[in-house]
Amino acid sequence: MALFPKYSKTQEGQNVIMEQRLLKAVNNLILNAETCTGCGICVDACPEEAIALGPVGAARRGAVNNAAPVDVNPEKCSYCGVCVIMCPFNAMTLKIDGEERLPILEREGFPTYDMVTVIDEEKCSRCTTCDEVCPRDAIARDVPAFEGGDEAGRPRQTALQTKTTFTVDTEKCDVCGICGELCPSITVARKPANPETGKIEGDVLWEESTCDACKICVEACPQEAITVEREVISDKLPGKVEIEQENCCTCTWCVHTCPQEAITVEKLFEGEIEINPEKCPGGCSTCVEVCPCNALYLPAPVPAKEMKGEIEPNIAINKDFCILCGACVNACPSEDAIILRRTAIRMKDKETDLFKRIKEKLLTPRTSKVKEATPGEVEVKVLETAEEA
Amino acid sequence: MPKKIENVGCPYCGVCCDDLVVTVSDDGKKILEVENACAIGNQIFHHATGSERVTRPRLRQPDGTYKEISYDEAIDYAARVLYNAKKPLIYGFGSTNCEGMAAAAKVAEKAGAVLDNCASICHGSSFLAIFDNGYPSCTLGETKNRADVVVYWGANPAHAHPRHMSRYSIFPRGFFTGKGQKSRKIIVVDPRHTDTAQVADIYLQVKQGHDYELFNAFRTALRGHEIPEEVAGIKREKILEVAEIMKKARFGTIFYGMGLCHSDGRNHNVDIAISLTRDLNDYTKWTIMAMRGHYNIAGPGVVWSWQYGFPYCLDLTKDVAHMNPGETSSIDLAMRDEVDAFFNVATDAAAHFPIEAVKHLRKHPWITIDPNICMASEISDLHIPVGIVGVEVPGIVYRMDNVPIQYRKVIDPPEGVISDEELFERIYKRLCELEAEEAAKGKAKTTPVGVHAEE
Ligand code: SF4
Repeated sequence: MALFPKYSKTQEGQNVIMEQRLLKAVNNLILNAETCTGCGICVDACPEEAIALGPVGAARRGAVNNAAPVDVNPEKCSYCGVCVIMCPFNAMTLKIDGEERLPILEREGFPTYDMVTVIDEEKCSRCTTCDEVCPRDAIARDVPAFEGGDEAGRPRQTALQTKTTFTVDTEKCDVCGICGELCPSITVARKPANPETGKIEGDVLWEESTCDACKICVEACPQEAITVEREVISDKLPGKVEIEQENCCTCTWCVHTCPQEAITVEKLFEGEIEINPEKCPGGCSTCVEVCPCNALYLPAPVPAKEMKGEIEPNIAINKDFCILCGACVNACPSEDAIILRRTAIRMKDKETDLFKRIKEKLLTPRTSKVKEATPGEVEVKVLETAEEA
Repeated sequence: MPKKIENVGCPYCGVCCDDLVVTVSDDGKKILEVENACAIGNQIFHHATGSERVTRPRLRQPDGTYKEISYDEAIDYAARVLYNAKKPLIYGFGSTNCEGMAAAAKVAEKAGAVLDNCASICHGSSFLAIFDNGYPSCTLGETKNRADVVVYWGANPAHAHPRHMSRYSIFPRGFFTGKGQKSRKIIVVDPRHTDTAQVADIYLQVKQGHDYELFNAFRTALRGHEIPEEVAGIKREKILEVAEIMKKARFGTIFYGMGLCHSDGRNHNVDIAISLTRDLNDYTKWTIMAMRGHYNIAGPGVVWSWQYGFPYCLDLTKDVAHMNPGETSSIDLAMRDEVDAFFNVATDAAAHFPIEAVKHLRKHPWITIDPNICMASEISDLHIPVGIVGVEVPGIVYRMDNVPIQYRKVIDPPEGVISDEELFERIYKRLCELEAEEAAKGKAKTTPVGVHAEE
């Protein structure tokens, strides 16, 4: 028995590490079982047919211990890195001698996804919506914390750029000291009581940087001696919101929900997803749980008097958010409930022959299947052959 | 060729599964396979053709052993015990068919006996509450087809009614509940984190014995009044959250069990549960259902109500039937030593009555009518075996929602073994004969043959 090459597969936390050890060189393909969605694009992309789909639904739900949605055979794998390039969720990493590298790209032997993920800085108001709706945690909202969202955050007035003026009518002011008692921005500097004059005199001092123009001093002044005016120079929150391209799956949730219409994202795939709710057995919702884009949902039942002879369907999709990844088809335990038809893939750089073969596979329409041939592996039902748009 | 018999009913719990498929051997004598039943149901069928069956009546002898006697002798013995007793108690009936119950009632009436069923130690408190407050219930099919909120309060179907959740309340996909479990919210209220709580969406760990307070809190919250920070161990926010879910339901069912009937307050726990159900109907549709135990424990309630107007604790010692649980219930009668003969029918009072009550009953003749060897049969003076309903004897049974189901027979009872119904009919006939004989020769009572069993 030959000692080299030596193959192994080990689990380290959420990572499954495939290894090919030659005499000196070591190749590692690392699958992050946590970010892997079970979409199966790597299965179609693998030139060596080394990747198989596993129990997608159970793995994503955490119902089985130590199971990843896909399974890579470390012996069949040629450590080419095509799966790393094609994974839309950045769940695969290739390491050559411990270093993250993709030689196939270095030699320009394979195209990459043509990602478009832009946030128009000008339009973006730094609101929190995209950060909240993004199902992949791909929004990097680099905006300082303020006291509303975080008690230890910055004072709210520092969010705006303002010019504030504070004036005291010295005629009216009797240096009573109330404003200073109320506000940390105001100091009433009284002169010592002087029996010679028998009067109280002094100055009202004000600090702009801490004033938030709340005007409580104006309202509390018994002599109506204070005027506060604020001019807003800029109401733009400081900081920046960006999309982390490697985490973005192009679902466009942020695009559709951005109140400023500041975001442009192009989907990776074109095509159609067809849902046949009458084929859904109900009570499953595996597709809803595995969908990486939060596009599938169980339609809410309507009150009895509004049903109008119709019962809500068992399953539905919001196509705006679907990226045609195929995880739902792989996880669905029924037959024909979800049909996926991809027609184009957004790529940049030259389409090599290898890529063209992969593309043909990816564009093959598919749906799920009840009785599969190999136990433990998911097999989809291939419909008619690919049609290119 | 082994024969498959379909649509067989299961004679165990109140779910009354009627979708069993039983495979019987070529000669029709052995049960080979039982499909669809839970583990408990399965065991009932396999036990029937097991080797441990008793096939002849057994009479206690002076040395304490049992001696086989004929059915005629046993029937004569039973009839004489009834005839001579001043106030016999005929108790049980959780596990026989309605035909058997009606025949037993005829005997009880003739003998001037007290007739009672397992309700008096089980859901009898429910009956008391129902008398006070009504029973806004439904059939199980309605829950299956409509319920989007299901509450199990003081009930543990995962262990007690194993297929209840899969047939009717949680998992089935009904007409308006096509998404099955995904179309329902399941709420479990129990001091223990049971296997039922395991499948719940919301689990309320109520302090044992404080259900009344929790019901009160729910009713108060529903009416929009203030409730304390914590009630019966449950935080206010949780109570308000659940109350809101109940209010927003399209159709809800509360299933409740011994957690309410057996804990402090008994019938009052149930009657406030019914009040909560009635309150909820101001907003939406809510129903309540007792998780009746044995497959035909609803049967005696129905049969005797039809015969005498009362479901349980029937005192037939006078010309007019009388019912007053607390006075005419089996345990109370036993504890006060008010009965002088005991018939244990299709139940096991020796195992499931408090030991003090058993000690009292054992002072008098004790006759067990049951297919099996059980604690009651082992302390009896006379044990008369009968065929197993649902396996060897067909008949009507009433499910927990009072839906009658026709049970089938899948095999013959052991050679010579008769049914409850036939047994009671024959005891009745013998009683009439005794009456006629005695009337002819005047008063001269004979003691029954056989000897009273040792303690
Ligand atoms: S759930 Fe009850 S009725 Fe159904 S099979 Fe089990 S014991 Fe029998």
